[in-house]
Amino acid sequence: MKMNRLLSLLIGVLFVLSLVTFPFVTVCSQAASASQTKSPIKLGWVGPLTGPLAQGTTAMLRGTKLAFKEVNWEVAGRKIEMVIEDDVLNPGVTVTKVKKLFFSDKINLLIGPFTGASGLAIMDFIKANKLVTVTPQAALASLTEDKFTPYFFRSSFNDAGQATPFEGWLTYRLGYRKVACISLDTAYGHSCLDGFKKAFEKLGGKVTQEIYTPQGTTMDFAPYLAKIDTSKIDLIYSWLTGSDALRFVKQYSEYGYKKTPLFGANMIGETYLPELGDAALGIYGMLHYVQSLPNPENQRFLKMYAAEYGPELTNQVAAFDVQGYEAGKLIVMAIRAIKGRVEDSGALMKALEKVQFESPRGPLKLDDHHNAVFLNYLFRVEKVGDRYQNTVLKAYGPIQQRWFEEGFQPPEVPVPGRK
Amino acid sequence: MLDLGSLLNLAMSGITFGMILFLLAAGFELMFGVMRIINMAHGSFFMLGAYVGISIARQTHNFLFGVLMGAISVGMVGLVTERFLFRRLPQHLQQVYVTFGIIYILADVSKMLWGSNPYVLSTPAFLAGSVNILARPFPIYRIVLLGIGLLTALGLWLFQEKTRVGSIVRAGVDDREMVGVIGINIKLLSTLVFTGGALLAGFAGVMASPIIPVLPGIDWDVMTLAMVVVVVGGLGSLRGALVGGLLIGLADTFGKFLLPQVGIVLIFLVLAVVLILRPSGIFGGS
Repeated sequence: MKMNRLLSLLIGVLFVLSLVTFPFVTVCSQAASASQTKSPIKLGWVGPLTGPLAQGTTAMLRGTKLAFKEVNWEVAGRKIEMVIEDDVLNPGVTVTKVKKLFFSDKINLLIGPFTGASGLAIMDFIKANKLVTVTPQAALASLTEDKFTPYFFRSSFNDAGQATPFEGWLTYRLGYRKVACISLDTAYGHSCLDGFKKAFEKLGGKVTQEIYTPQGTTMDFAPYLAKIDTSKIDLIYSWLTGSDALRFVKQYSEYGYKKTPLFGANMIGETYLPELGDAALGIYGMLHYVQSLPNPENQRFLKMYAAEYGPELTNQVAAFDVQGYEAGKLIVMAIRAIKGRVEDSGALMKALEKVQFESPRGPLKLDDHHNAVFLNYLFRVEKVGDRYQNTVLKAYGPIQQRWFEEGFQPPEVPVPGRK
Repeated sequence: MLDLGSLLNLAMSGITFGMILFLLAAGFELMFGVMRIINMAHGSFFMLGAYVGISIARQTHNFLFGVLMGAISVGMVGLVTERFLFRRLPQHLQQVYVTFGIIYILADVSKMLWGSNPYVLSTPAFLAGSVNILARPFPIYRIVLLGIGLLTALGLWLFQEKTRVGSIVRAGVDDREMVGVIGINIKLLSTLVFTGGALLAGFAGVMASPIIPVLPGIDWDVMTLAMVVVVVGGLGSLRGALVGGLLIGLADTFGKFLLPQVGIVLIFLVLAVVLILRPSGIFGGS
């Protein structure tokens, strides 16, 4: 009884507080914008800063901030201001936060969201309100395919278009014919494995086994490993992520499976390499960015990153940081091209469409559905000195999102920065 | 599909996983048995042991010292929490709330100290490889883990059955008030048992860390499994912890192997069956 009374009291206090502070905040921001002659450009940022994806999102935000820091938070004579909102990995909250950013903070452009579900959730809103949006992640295919809207730009990648079918295609190209697959038992895990299978089996390869494991709860992968009959396959393809990938790689090595090659992109990010140590040596992966890329732009980016965030975070730089940086740089270059007139959303969109630049991951531009066109890299975990790293073996591309449907064969190209 | 070699291999995997669960559950059982404390923070002790053990092993380049210090430091944390928190809280519900608080505090403290990246304890070279058992490779470290689990079980049994302190602990489980009445310092006993229980949790954490990388969230993951083991084995019984741990370890392994999509269900199926047949667990008192 007492607890209940206390709780209702607390709820009442919160409610009153929210009523009192809400108009106050709006008034403040209006006063600030009116007092300057050349008003700042306001950017909104939305993504999950808490929860299981927080690590990647935080890295991405560091990258975006770095792109603005590079130009001293000023483009075409206008200051850049960024309002950051946490959507706690809930698409419903994403919508609320985007509405708040748009109506209350009066943003000119939105950076985000992070997940495909959040992207779908805000699609109608950004279309109806002509809010130009650039996502550094949200790799769900339909966002730039059947759900395409001209206001939405994706500088990252299209997962089911550019990642998994390419892995299937590449596996076959490298000479592997019989593959056992292990993936997460989630909608995403299934669709990624389907993408791999689609390309691999079309070329004539055979997936002998498909194993799906629950996300995050598997302590011991030994029983799943025991299911894989290594005498009947020539490669294991894995689409596990996060802690699952880590445990799997550790136990794959521990049980002496290393004679069978392992291929999987998400499992061997730079962050995990020092912990996996020898267990990860020799594992193959495919991704659109690898830290050890020798091209000058990547070296410049890493130096800048180290100066801002220190050596420890720089050692962990992965695709996330670069994607965040790219989105920021894309925006800066587009705003510069239209001399700061961000209020004209039509001009801003045209400028974003035209931007082309050298990213840390190689040449980057957007296709007619506003999705990034880039190179994919095959790499292998190697030990250089006393440090473990992903070493780039081959580069393919440029790859756009509908390459597979169009029957395009990505040519092998020289690795950027390597002679 | 299943020859003798892979059957044995699977069984041993299950048993070693069960041993980790046993080490974890044994401490929980001890605490509950004597003090009637449901220590929800046991998983956090497991996590803390792993973090501290790994850090020390890396600093000193000594695996054994890391394992030892991981266990001891968590024991110390147990000592402090018992002495300054639980002794002041006579009610069970209050104690449960406080253990929940400890979960959040330890989770945040370890996130501050160790970040959110995973940590793996690297084993000494002679423990790193694998040996062939009936033509199927089996990791040496897991065999060691198996031995250590059995030794701990034996040690705990000898302690309970053959030493004076052990018999006091058993008496404490049966009738706590009476033990106090006959002039035994029950407060000291509680401190001792809680410290020992925490030490076992820390030991389990650091011993498991070469195969189960430690990272934020593992405290809840192992806590769930430990609770299942305890309920299956019976609250307050060390024998229950051993049998429950092995049963759940094997159920988990064979469940995943036979029905990979629904493997985790088998654990809870075992739990449900045990609860129907013996509502207070296999070795639980009436």
